[in-house]
Amino acid sequence: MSAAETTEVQMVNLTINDRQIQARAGQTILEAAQSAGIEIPTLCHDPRLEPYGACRMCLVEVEGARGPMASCGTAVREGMKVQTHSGKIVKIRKFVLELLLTNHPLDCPVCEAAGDCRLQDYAYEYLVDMVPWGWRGPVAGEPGAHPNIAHFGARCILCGRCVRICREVMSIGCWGYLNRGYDSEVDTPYRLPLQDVGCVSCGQCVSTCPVGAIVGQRTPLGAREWQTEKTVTTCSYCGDGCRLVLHSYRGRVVRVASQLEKGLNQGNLCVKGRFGMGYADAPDRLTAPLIRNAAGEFEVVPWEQALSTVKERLAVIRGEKGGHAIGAICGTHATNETAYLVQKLMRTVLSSNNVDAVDHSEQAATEQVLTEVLGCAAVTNSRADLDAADVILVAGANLTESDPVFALAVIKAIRTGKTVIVLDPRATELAAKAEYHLAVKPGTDLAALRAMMRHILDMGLQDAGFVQECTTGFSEVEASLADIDVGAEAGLCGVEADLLRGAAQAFGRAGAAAVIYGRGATEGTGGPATVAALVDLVLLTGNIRRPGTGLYPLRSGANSQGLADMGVRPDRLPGDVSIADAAEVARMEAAWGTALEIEDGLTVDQMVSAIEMGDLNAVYVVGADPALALADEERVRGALDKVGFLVVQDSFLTDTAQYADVVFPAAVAGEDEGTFTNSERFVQRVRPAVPALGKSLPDWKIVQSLANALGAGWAYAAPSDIMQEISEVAPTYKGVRYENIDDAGVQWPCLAADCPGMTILYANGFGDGRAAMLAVEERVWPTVTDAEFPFVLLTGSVREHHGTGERTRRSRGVTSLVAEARLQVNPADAKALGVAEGDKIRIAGRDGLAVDAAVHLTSQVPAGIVFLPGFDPGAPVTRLLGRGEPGAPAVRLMRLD
Amino acid sequence: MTTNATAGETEEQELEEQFVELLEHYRGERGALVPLLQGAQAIFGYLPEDVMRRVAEATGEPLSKALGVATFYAQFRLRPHAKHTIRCCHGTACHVSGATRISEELEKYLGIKIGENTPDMLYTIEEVHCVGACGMAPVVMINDRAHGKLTPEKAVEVVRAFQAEAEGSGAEVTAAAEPAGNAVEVEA
Ligand code: SF4
Ligand code: SF4
Ligand code: SF4
Ligand code: FES
Ligand code: FES
Repeated sequence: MSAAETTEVQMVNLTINDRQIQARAGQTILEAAQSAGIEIPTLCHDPRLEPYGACRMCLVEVEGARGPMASCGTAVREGMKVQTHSGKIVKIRKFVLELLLTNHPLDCPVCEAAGDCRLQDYAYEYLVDMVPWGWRGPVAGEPGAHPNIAHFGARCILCGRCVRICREVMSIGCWGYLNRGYDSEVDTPYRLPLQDVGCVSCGQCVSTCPVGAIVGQRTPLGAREWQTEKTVTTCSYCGDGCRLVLHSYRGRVVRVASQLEKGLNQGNLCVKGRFGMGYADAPDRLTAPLIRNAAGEFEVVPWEQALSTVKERLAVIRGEKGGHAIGAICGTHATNETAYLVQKLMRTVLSSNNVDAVDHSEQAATEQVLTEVLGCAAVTNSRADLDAADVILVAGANLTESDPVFALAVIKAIRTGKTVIVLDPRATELAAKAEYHLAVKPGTDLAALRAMMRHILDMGLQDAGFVQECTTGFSEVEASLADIDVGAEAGLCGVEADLLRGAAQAFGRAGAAAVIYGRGATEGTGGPATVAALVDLVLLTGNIRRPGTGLYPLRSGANSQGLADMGVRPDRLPGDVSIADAAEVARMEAAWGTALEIEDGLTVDQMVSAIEMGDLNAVYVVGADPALALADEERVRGALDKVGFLVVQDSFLTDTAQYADVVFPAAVAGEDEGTFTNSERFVQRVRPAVPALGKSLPDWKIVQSLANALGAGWAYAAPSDIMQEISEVAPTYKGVRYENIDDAGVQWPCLAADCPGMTILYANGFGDGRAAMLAVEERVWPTVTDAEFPFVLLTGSVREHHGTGERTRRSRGVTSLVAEARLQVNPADAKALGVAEGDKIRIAGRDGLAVDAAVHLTSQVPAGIVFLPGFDPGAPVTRLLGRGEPGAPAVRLMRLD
Repeated sequence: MTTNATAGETEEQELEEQFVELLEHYRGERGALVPLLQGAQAIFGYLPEDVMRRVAEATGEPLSKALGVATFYAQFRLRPHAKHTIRCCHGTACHVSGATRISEELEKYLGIKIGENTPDMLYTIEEVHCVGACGMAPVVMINDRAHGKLTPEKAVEVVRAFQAEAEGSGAEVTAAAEPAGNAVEVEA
């Protein structure tokens, strides 16, 4: 229990500059001063890093101490008396600055950091008007070859922040000190280009460098710090919900930065968030509505014409076949406000429940199982909580690629000696660092989980009290595990029995253990059973309802969680309410003033079949690219081609838009306003930094215009009006208002305007009183390979791109690093196949469909497994998926010459 | 490949075997970076890039850290060392009395840049900090002997004389001593 218990915070009284101040025990003088609004200058300090104490800028006088103390590394004590700006201290600081400026070239006019440079700020503040040893003249530096990160070594003040952040936070270590004393420098080993030393282009070093030594590469759009406007918003890529600061100048976003100590990301970002904004300025942005003319070509038309065309066609289809002949598919970066309007349009204007999210299949297992067992289909805890976990199990997720900033919490756990168990066929970055890597054969995760649970029972490590008091179904679980033999399961999943036992023991003994899982666990026929086993494991050991415990299902997009919350599901209404619940339906009918269909609508996958059957005749796609996203590309494209009327709303002419009859040009995230709900249930603000390009419009406005063209009579003046309505109808969002989520966001359920949200679910019990454990599935669904099709094809994310890549493929900061999807092949397999890095290879499935891609050699994939990410229409992995196999398909590889 | 292996190849193999043994001895051990680097340098005479990479890998530290250690301590060398070391002092006293021009002239004379070896592996030039002979600045040390009050021309002369003595006479000349072992002290 140790880690889980919350201890009373001890307070300490001290005096800073003759002011009485209270601080938490363990805080540094610097932290105490900062929270009291007293500024102490720092150069080598970054709250994301361990205290270092190298620059001496933060020195303060402490009464009774022998000399000045570094406030960044000195803990507060009861009764301490501190002076932060005494004459002596100010003199020392000035001396430190003079020393630095002897060496630091006066590059300010050409330096990217000018205006955002601590050395500049402090030199001014401390009146450094001359340097006794002479100034150093400007140095013509070269920015280095990295597309995003520039390094000007001459400007370095050796604070070591980049060195430490890349090691401590990222666990990589691109930067290091070279030489010593006067010759000291900070650079990459052998001064190699960053690309060659494992840099992932996260820009954490950029964010921490206090001067202009490591900065973002200058872009043609560049503008000075003081010229740009700053807009705080939320990243629109993955489900981590990082806070971004958009710097805009003359109507364009010119730079993306982060705020230290702010947001869930605390100033950390990934390559997409920091350098993946280029798509907003892509030359092929849609700036006006398009209609396919009689000749089959797109024609630019005014909004009125586009809207009236859609209105007329939908009216005909609805008149002939009813509302259920119309469907809508929503992409994962639609805001809550847009998503809410899309489903409201479908349900109240078009009388159709055919509304779904493009990534539903990835989320379905989680939603089904978590609802059934626990009562709520969402993450139970929040990331900050992982600090309190002794053990973290990461299942079916390549976290550093799919959720790069969330992953930092796990990296921190490893660094601080916590036990991490990675359940994944691939030797992912985390797997390599974790204490346990359970390298299961694809599709056999369940066998490993069964073995772990069996061993936990054998050792008596279950939390019998919790199981008895808070769950039902334990006897069924026990019975389903009765015949399980750890050795046999080990054989099935290909992981040594002792390793499984060790992991089980670690998990079972932990005071607090948490489970993070991704699409590797949720997808395929075995998905629901695998999720159920993960939930059972958590319940069996009582790892829920407390800090450091619980289940973290990962979500694929910035608002995947929000789409589910808003009722972008064929069987659920806003606020995670089932349409089978008559009372809830009646409540919604009253709120919306119209009768609702109560038949389940079609899921995205079912929409494809319904189009084939001729039952679905019109589809409205909002910010999604199903042509690339859904399994079985050939079939999906066939359906998009066949559907009578296709309306696509997007910022680009996507693969899906190629089939459209009408295209609505949508604003991008930096031009739109609303909220996203991240994978941790945090509802956060999305704010526009620049106006929508050309005649494009924010999604919510387009949906409203369409609804009104269809006679809805909506009058939402701003997204905040929509959120007002959401809070009135969605129980979990009851207290969500822009005013109260303005800065920090709020974690739903938020039950009143002053409710701070709920960090840990079920703390006061489960939905139905007890959690209903499910019997453990006895099968597994491994991929069957043979001599002809000897490889298993896996897919998933790469950190540079998001989803199907419509936006990242148009961002130079990303494409200059990773331009095309490459097939990851184990070097041994590559040797046997006679292929080398970069060679073209054909990947063919059992039914003859094939995809060509270049090869990337990596031992991250074991022999016999290959991996192809899904962002590249030139190598669409979905062509080989969903062709009747229960999980990952078996493929063969052929060298192309 | 072993059947007609030259003497060089066999020696290389032996070194590799010793190195592998060393790596295995320390693998996974905390704080093993310095002893590993010392051991590796004892085997190879210096620390080539691939050796650095393998040492880093064995200790689980980033290469940047291993290299930080290897460049921090004067005892480690990242390049094979030429037989004789010419150290141009660039300490303050020498600097103000024209050390830069001396280095430049010596570079020109030997046809190499600071830090490089002559192709015959006989000479290397280094820039160092105060060697403790400020009284006779500017100073150039050839191996462990200091030559002072130099002009660029005189510096070349001194080197030429050394060459004549060392190679011309064929006499044994003390090879470059370990930097840590002589008067060179690099401090901030
Ligand atoms: S961008 Fe990230 S990975 Fe690259 S050097 Fe900087 S901190 Fe390290
Ligand atoms: S590059 Fe910047 S962050 Fe790194 S040591 Fe130099 S000044 Fe500090
Ligand atoms: S893509 Fe995800 S991890 Fe990267 S900055 Fe955006 S929200 Fe953060
Ligand atoms: S900020 Fe405290 S020593 Fe640098
Ligand atoms: S500065 Fe050259 S010997 Fe002291």
